[in-house]
Amino acid sequence: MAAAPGKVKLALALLTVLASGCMAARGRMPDTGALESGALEPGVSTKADVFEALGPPAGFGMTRVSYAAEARVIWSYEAVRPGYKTAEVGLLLVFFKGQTYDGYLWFSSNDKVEMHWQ
Amino acid sequence: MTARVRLETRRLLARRPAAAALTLIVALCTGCYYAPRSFSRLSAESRPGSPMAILPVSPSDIRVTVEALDPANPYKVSASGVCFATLDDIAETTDAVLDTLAGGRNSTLKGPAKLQKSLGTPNALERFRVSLRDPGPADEPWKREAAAGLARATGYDRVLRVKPSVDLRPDRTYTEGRNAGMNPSWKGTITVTIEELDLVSVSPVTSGSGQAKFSGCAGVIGIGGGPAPAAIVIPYGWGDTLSHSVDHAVRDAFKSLYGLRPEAGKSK
Repeated sequence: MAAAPGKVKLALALLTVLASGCMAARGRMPDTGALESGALEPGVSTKADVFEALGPPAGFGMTRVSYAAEARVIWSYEAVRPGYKTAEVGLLLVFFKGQTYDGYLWFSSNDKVEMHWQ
Repeated sequence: MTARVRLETRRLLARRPAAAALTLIVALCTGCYYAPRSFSRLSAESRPGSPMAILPVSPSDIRVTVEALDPANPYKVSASGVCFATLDDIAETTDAVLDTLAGGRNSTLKGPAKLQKSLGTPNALERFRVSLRDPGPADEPWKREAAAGLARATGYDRVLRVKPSVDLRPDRTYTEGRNAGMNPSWKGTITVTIEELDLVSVSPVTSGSGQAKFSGCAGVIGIGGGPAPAAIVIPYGWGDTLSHSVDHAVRDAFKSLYGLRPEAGKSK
């Protein structure tokens, strides 16, 4: 007996939900075009400009380059895209000096990171 | 949607009454999502005197602490996984509770769902949230602009920010013997902090918090012996639900915020 199309759709939806629950992607890497093209200018662009260009960050922090230097705000963006046995990881840090944009640093798993399931 | 669910339930009851009854029992008992919460509105005594909007709960505003007896204990994961899947679930549950509490014809509160609907695009809200979380000085001009932008978009000078904190710990676990890996139970505390923020001065005006405990158990019961169909495995769960506990904690938080003000209850 052939299964009703509704049942097949339901089973497929359930499978998708179950599978995605195990290996859900996390975070979002913004379009770094604005950083690389120079649209965001160090010392000039504001936090509002960075928000408009990159969207809301995933995390916040502060750093002090030396004891004498003033503390700087950092916005972080991250993305993890798991595959079957590998994962792509990307992290972008945006630095501010006072209220203005000061620079950025990004790195990613050039090659995919292998995951070991226990 | 509700009518369709009712229709499907009737059909299932007519065709497979035993299956429907079992499904209903499991659904009702599987604590976290299905058991009821109080759907009553917030009492007039616990509401603010002036109109305010409640910001939708952001997953970044939620803190979850899972305490395990042993850091390497696998129940650290399973206990939390049974009760709620993600921070988004907690945020959605809290928003649903807040929407219910804020309802009513004479309510001074606007719930998260209505607020989001009135905003259209979430940009003003997102920008304000980022300005709240940014660790730089609070008096930065762009933060004032973000607050002013939200005030313009919502029409409110004051908003409420809700921050839930969940502390969860396994209560009883079976790590050895035939029940190893099964039947975890948990205890937890939900603390909800509500901050009243003034969008003009961009500062918190007042805050209050409420707390509620929850507990639960989930697992499977085996009946009979040997492989199916001789043996039947029935999943079960019970306990105080997440939404039920959030409901209590939020009510307490509102009471601590506005319940003691001199003009409380005058609108009755």
